[in-house]
This record gives sequence, structure tokens and C-alpha cells, in this order.
Amino acid sequence: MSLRVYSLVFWMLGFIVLLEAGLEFRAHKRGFQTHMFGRPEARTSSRAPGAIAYGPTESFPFRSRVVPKVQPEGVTRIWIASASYAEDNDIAVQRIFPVLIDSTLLAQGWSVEVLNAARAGHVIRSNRDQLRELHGEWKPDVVLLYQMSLDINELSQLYLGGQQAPTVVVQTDALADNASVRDQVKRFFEKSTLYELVRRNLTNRVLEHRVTGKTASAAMQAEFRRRITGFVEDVRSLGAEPVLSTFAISHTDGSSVTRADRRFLLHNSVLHPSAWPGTVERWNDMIRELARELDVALIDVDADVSGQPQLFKDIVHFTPGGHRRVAESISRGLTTVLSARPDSRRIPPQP
Amino acid sequence: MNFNSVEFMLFLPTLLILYWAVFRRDRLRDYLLLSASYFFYGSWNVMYAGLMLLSTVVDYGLGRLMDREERPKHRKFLLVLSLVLNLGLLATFKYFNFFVDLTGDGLRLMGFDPNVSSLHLRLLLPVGISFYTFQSLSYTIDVYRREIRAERSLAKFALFVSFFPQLVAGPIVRAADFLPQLQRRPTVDQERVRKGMLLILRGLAKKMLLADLLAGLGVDAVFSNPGAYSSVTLLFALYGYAFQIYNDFSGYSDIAIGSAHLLGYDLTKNFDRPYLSRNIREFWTRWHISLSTWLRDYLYIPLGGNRGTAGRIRFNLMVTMLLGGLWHGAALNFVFWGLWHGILLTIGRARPKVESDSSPVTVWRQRLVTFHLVVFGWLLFRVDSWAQLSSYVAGLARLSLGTELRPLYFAVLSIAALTHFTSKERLDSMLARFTVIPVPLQAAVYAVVIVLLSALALGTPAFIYFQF
Repeated sequence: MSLRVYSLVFWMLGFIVLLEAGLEFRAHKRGFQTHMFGRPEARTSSRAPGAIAYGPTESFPFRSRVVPKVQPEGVTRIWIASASYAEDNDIAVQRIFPVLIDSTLLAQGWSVEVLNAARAGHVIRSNRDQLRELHGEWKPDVVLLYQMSLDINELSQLYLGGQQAPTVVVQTDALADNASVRDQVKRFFEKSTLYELVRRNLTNRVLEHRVTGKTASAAMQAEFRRRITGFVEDVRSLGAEPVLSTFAISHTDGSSVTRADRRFLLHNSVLHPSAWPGTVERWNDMIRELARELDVALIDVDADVSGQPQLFKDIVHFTPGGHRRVAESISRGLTTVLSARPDSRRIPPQP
Repeated sequence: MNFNSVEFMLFLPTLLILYWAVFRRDRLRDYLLLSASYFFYGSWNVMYAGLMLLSTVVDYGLGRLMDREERPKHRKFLLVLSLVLNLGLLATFKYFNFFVDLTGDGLRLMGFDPNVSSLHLRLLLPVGISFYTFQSLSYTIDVYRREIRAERSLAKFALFVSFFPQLVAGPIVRAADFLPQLQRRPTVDQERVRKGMLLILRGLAKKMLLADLLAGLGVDAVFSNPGAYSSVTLLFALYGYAFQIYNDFSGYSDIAIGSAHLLGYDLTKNFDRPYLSRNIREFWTRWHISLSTWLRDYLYIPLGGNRGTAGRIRFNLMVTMLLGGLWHGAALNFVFWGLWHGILLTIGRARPKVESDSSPVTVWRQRLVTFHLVVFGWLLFRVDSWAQLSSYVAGLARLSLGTELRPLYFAVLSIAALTHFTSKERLDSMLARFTVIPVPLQAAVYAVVIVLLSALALGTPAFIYFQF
């Protein structure tokens, strides 16, 4: 048998790679980061000597100021458990809210190190897994959870999608064990220019034609409650102090969400876009209630930031201005938390 | 890994290159396919692969012993051992908790209050266990019946059980069909590759363009809250589900058969446009053919088949269909789905034959009636609670007009129906014309279609039949 018999397969793959290369070149010329040509500005940028280094690096898996693994005495480590809202790879690292919290608290004289453990695609469960995995090495003292929209998406699939629930739920959990490599492959593919182009121009239009659920069910809410409670218990069992935060969105009224913003909501295949903000509101109330029940500090970011579209790139991701506002809100909340901790140290700012 | 995943898009071409490299070395070729199949299966969970290996080694050993054994009682003992092992594994992993719950419900009805949840086994259901168990069982039964000789090579037998294209969701391959193909060097030529690629593309289109879009645009949402929709919406969501499950499952079979083609092997045909059936009996000769023939040969006929009194035949039919339903899942709705088909088959047998009337009006009337009977069965199949079923039926009975479904849903449903009902000859001739155009041009079409399909996917939902 000659390899030529499979020429059709290889021609096809060749065409896909060629098409991708062409589109990536075009995207790169327009200033976008691509697989083949990288990030445009990366070639010219270089760090000035003595400047602060930021992760992630090979030995520091967080998108925040690089600190040594061994925790200096008197320093309070604050772990940010979140998703793309806090990782935000589209914005320079110095302008994302976890790094701004770090610099704000340092400027106020608090001896802190912020570990931004946020990863795009994280849900509460994966935040817990990551914390359990890295806790031994990095030993956070305070763990802040800023998380919601991806859990809404996941729970909608499970509870509103009608996917013959019991078996699929079992399989989903089973697949989670094996998910990391698979997720990386999938993400690599999804970040290709070809995929992104078709997805934006075709799929999003198709998705607008769905019939979707109108409310979050009681079972969904109970599961969300269980997730938050589990997270708090886990953090406490690891010897750290949990801090909860409400979740901010650009529009508090579903009907006023703009068409462009709705694109983000289209990631949720079963919950109606106009029902989404209502769900967030109800779940924020649940977080407030849980914080009281579990005796956990609460930072009400929702009250400070929600309903101001100018602070958001889409319905949940922040503009640089939004990051600043969130950092102010969380820093204020953390100051209260730190003040109440006997081991937290504050060095008065130098004149 | 799913057939509709990026991993599979990388896995298959890599395998083809390696396959080409070892093609002339027969033993190495078998080992390569075996390793690839275990890699494919193990990518879900390595423990699953261990379970399959156990089942394979035991059935291989029992088959060899049975082949050599002449004493009928000893042969029967070996067969029973194989049945106990295979069905035992299936029962433990798939049905144990179901029967525990059922017993608990029964006791509760009698006034007791048992805590059955403490008895639950916390086991993950291995993907495709029902498929490879049936495949392995058919081998030992065939060896017992002396219809085939036991396979001497463990590697070939293991490949028969685990051959990746059909491993997870069929077609359920018979040893008599597949093992002989492993004894000779397969034929791989451009014609076969073109046909295989066309089947893969057709399968992907069925799955991602029709099945997933129907689910994503309407079916899932309507089934999740049937009380919120009009009767018209409920009816068209039900039609949508009928075409979704057909395109999902037959799409998988197409990809499986196409992938096997690329490697030079033939798998059993699994579907033959089932919604064109004129009665339920015909439906079962067109729907999931590899399962229905398995049930016929290894369950219905051993029970007595069409022999005996009318009552006995009815009993045989009901038992076969009930177990066929239960094969799909450990839930009562699958049992009722099986019973529904058993009842329809029993009624069909009792009715005088009318198929001889072949006027188009009669034919289409019969098709329409059969289609709606099957569709009602899909409602039983799809729901996951009594509340959902009663809400759906009540919603249909309200006879409320208007629909919340969008035009795009109806467009996809129409395409699904048209492709199903268009004559096979016409479709085949269209596809045949495509396969004669130059390879680079074909490849360009494939590239564009595959990119569109992969980006159009609403998530990457697993194939429905994976859970069985």
C-alpha cells in the first residue's frame, strides 16, 4: 500500500493548515496574537532592569507579581480564585484587578502577596481542585472567590439542558479527571483564527435562534449553594480564611443588554439571555445569605460595580477602568479582613 | 475521545501514517490497531480499558477451552461462566443501583422505609460497556454453538473486541464477520479511502449539522420545561428529537464504518432510513440493525422465536423488547420504551397483512402511522421523570397553537426530513459524482465543510448512544 491512498486526508489537512496560516498572518498584521506568529508587541517589548516581574512563569503559576515560594514571615498571602474575569489575558498584567489589589494594599502598607490563581474557563469546582493541588507549596492565608458566570453555564447545561441527567452527570465527573490535556488541545484549536472567524460570523448568528430556558431552576440554585459551601469548607480545612464576593455584571436589567453584549451570553446554550442577569441577581443574594450563615467575610462587588456598562468589555469582563473599580472595591473589603487578622502586619507608609 | 472532537482529528491521520508504515507486517499491524484502540478507549478513563481487557482475556480463554472441549455439560458450564462474567460486569456497573432503587421503591410501597442509598455502588459507568459486552458474548455463544472456531490469537481476539471505530457505540460486530477480516491483509485503495472519507463527512454532518442543531435550537430547551410551551412546539420538538436521535446515532455509525474503511475493514450496516418503515416490524429491520439482529439471534430465537402458541410468541416478543429497552439504560423509561415496542410488535403480528397493497397513498399512510407510533416511543425514551412525561403529554393534549420555535429550527428539521426521505439512489448518485472530481478539489471541500462543522458545533455534546 502506498501512502498516496491517503492523499485525500493529507490534502484536506494541508488545506486547513494553509487557510489557518493565511488568516493568522492577516490577523497578526492587524495586531492580534496568533498561534503561528505570536503576540505582535512581544518581539519588541523588554523588561527594564529592576522592574517588577509578573507571572505566570515556569516556577510561578499565577498571573500576578512574582514572589518566592517560601512565604516571608509576617506576610499575608491572598489567593484569588476566579476565571477569565481576573486572568484577563487581553489586558496588560499591571492593569488587571488582582495586581491592582496587590499594589493598592502594598501602598497602604499592608504586608501582602497576592496570588492570582484565576484561569479562563474555571468553575468553582476547578478552583477547588487547583487550590488543593497548589496549597501545599504556596500556603495562602486568605482565599477570595470571585466566580459565577461559568458555573451558571455549566449548571444550566446540567439542569436545564435535559441531557438525560443521571448518566451524563456521572460521565461529566469521570471526564473531569482526564480533562486537562484534552482541554488544552481543545483550547488550542478554539484559539485558531479560522475557528474564531467562523464562530463569530456564523455560529453566533445561529445561536440567536435558540429556544432557551426562562429561569434558573430550584435544583440549579441548590447545587450552586452546595458549590459555594463546599469551597468555603475546603478553604477552612486547608487552614486559610475564605472570603466571598458577589459577582458584578454590566446590566442589571436583562432587556437592556445590548446585542454586542449578548454574544457573551450565547455561550450559555440553554438559559435565555434576558433570564441571565436575573439569575445573577438571585445568586448574589444567595452568596450574601451564605456569607452570613457560614460566618464568612463578604465583599459586595456587585453593589459597587454592577449596572455600569462603561466598566465592562462585555457583560462580565472588565475594561481597564472596570478593573480599577473592582480593585478598589475588593481592596476595601480586604482591608477589613486584614485588620481583623492578628497575624496581618501593616507597616505605615513611608513619607 | 469523541469522533466529533479535535483529538480525533489529530488521532486519525497520525494513526493512518503509522498504519501505512507497518501495513505489510501483519503482526505489527494488528498490534498497532490494538494499541490505538486501547489508547482511544483509555482516553476516557484508563480503568475502563482494564475492565475491557479483563472481559477480553476471560472470553478468549473460555472460547479456547470450549473449542477443545467435547463433553456437552462441560461446554455448557464454560458458556454459563462467560455469560455470568459478562452479564455480571454489566449488571454491576450499569444496573445494580437501578435494581437497588427499584427494590427500595417496592418496599416503600409496602410501608417500609429502607435506606437504600447506602447500598449504592459508587462506580462510573464505563463508556460503551453494553456494546462490547454484547459483542464478546456473541463470540462465546457462536463458539459454543460451533458456528465459528475459537480465535487462536489473543491479539486478534482483543482487536475484535476493542476495534476503535465501533467500540463505543457500535455497530455491534459479529465474530463471524470480523475475525475472518483479521486473518488476511486488508485492502486499502483510493476508492475505499474516498468512500470512507465520504462516510465520515456524512456522519459528521448528520451529527453536528442536524442532530446537535436540532437539540441546541429547540429540543433540549423544550424537553427541559415542557409546561412552558404550546402543543405545536411540543409536537415539533418531538419530531425534532426523532430526527436528532436518528442523525446522532446513524451519524456515529457512518463515522465508525468510514473510519474502518480507511483501515481496510468492513463493519455491519446499522441503519437503513428507519422512518420509511411501513410497520414496526420493518422499523426494527432498519433501526440499529446490529442490535436488533443480535437480540433476534441470541435472545428471541433461543426463547422459542416464532415457534409455539400465539401466547408464547407474544411472551418471547415482549421479553426480547423489554430487555432490549433495558439494554439502553438502567431506568424505567427505557423499560417502558421497550414494552411499547413489544406491544406494537405483538399487535402487528395479530393484524392481517396489508403490505401487499403498494399504492403510494397506502404506503405513505402506513409510513405516517408507523412514524408517529415510533415518535411516541421516543417521548418515553427521552423523558427522565414521570413529571416530565405527564407535563409533555398534558401540553400536547392542550392543543394550543402558535410556536416559540424559530424558523431556523424548522429549516433544520426540514433538511433532516428531506435527506431522510430522499431516495437512496438519488443521494448515492449525487455522492458518486462528488467522488470522481480531482482529489485536491475534494480535499478543499472537505476542509471547508469540516471547519464549518467544527465551529458550528454548539459545544461538543457527546453522542447520545455513548451512555448505553
